[in-house]
Amino acid sequence: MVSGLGVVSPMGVGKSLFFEALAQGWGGLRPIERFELGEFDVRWAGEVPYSNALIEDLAESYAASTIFSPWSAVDSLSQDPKVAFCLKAAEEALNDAGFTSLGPESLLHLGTSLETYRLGTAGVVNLSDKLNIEKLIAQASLRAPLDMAMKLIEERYGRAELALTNCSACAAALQALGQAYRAVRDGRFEMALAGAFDSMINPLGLGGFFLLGALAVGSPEPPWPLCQPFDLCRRGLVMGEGAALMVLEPYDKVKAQGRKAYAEIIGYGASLDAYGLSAPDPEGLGAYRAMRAALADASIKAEDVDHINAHATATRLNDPAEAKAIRALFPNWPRVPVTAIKSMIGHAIAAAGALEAASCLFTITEGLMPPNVGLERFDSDCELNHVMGKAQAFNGSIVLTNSFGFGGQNAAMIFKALQ
Amino acid sequence: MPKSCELFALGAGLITPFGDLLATIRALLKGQRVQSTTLKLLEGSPLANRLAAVRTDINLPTDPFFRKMRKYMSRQSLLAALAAREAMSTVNPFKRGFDPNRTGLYAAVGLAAVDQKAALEVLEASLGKEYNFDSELFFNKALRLVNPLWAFETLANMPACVVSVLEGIKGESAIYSPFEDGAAQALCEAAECLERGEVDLAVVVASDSPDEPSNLAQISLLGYLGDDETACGAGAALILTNRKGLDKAFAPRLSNFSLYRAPISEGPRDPLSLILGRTMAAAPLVLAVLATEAPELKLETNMVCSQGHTFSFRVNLN
Repeated sequence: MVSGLGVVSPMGVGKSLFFEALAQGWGGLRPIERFELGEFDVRWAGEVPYSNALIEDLAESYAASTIFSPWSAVDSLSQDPKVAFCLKAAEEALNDAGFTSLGPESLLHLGTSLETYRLGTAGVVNLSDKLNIEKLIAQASLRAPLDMAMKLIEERYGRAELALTNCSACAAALQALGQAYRAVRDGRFEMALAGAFDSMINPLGLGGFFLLGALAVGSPEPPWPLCQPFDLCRRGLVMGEGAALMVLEPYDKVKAQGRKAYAEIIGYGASLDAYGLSAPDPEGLGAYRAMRAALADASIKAEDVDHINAHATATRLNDPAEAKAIRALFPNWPRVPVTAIKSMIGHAIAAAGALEAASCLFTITEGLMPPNVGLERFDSDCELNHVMGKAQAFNGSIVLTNSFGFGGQNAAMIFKALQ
Repeated sequence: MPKSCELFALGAGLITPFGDLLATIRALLKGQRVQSTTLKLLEGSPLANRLAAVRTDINLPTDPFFRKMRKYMSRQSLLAALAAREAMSTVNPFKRGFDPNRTGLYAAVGLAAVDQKAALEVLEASLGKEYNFDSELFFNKALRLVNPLWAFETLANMPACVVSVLEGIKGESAIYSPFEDGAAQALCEAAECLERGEVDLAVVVASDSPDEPSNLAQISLLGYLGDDETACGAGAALILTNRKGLDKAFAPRLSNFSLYRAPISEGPRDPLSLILGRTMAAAPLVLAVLATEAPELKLETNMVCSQGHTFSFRVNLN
């Protein structure tokens, strides 16, 4: 079961802010402030607010670490803030569950997407000569390795028995959580710290997704396009960032110790589209298979699911495919409320599934389903029982969340309220 | 994982500087070693003496769809796709009754292999007067220089997705990065999923290109590559099952997969280092492929990965 939770989101640092914003339907999307955009047509994202203060705090705390070498902690974290988000989320999750360290019975399983190029530090090396070999060395050391957060967590909290980095794009979080859930369920580990962290709100990240045609673009002047999952006027994804990490422990152990917990993970499923690299299977067959596998793993029927937290990126192709998959799998779909919190936090890429899993914990513990705040008029291809306007009361016990990765990787996870 | 779990290796694929699986085995059995060289782009730098085994003459399969997909592939994607194609075409699992929906894909990939030339062009076009990175210049000038397909090369999940699309694999998946530990976990996870019955067939794929200049520089700076070791690009694939009732009398069997933390004092140790070079993220799978397909090499079946895990397995030959 989930006994600890740490969240860094566009609503701020900490799960309390995240939960409060979900309850109120506050959007975390705002104009990008981290760097200059010139005349670029994308200007809107879900940046973690006050991230500079968070980075300065952490840099001070990790000042003695050699893992950032050859950069200073503050330089490295400023250029690769996703690592800072991960460290803070890990700290909150471990504190929340009452752990002060990892240990030989623990698993550390993190999901993230890409190495970040710490381009802001490029000025410190001589890049003036076109054929300067220094450039190459600089380019290599400008890269922040994907396992940096993992190393820093282990440096502070001790080594886990197994430490892994999943890089399955937008499905990375649920894959990391799913594998961790299986490992704890099967008795291979006494405890897992799992989840994901990411930030593509940097020039290369935004530029890359822009080139793929996935971003909601508009004019450099307001009003900027919103993130509108399932809406008739949806224009693409809005970038987000953050981290959510969970402490997973065996159900019986936490229950016997009388400790608090959020919910039980009862099912995980995954699939591949095997359709195309740049578009999902339009029939949503891969998404359907992932959800079906999660239901089978949980030994429940589709009718038992009380709420769905959709992947819902607000792109033209993804939303109808997911809606089609949900309608095909859930015979009672008109009665199953579906939400899409990317409308509030944007698409945090690898971290998206972790933040959405945290949203499922919010729904189960607070009895509220957050709204899809970007939805005004749903596309007929995206007809579902949408949670619109404001949060709605949740009286059920079982919540399913989806994550679908670019390239056709799908994952679904099912949470259940504690008895 | 219980020691009793035994998996059948139905087929394998390998791409190394020697060529495909057969070519690699032949070369290694003859006692040949990969040709290593220093990299021109590193001349004059502190890493000028670092060694890499580079293969440039890779033949693509004749399959038109494979060739069409080539434009989306980074070198790591290509290495993974070639190894997977070799293994899948040997086994033809879907013609033998395996269900693509119950076939899992467990993959590992190394540090991103970004097109060096394009990256330098972009960086240069983004430099301000003080040679600082200027994001306005990046968005307004440099981004126009970039091939839209560039994004496909940078995404770490692409090698596995390319394999999935090319080979029609539709079951569950997991992808790990960036060093040997990932491929070791991919193998362990495939074994566990087969044992639990989540899949009937597991395709395990790993690829890396540590021989590319920026990757060679990165792993050297991290201290993961010894001064006298050769960085070697490779792709490997292994098709595993535990399903009963198949004609697998001659299939080698793998068992006793284990992955656990090594003592903190132990650095990376790869049994292939002296004969093939360091294939980094691909290494555990390259080792498993060679240990099953070329037992005459008498390879040690344990290694210490760069992130400090010890990986081992056992090969049981018929």
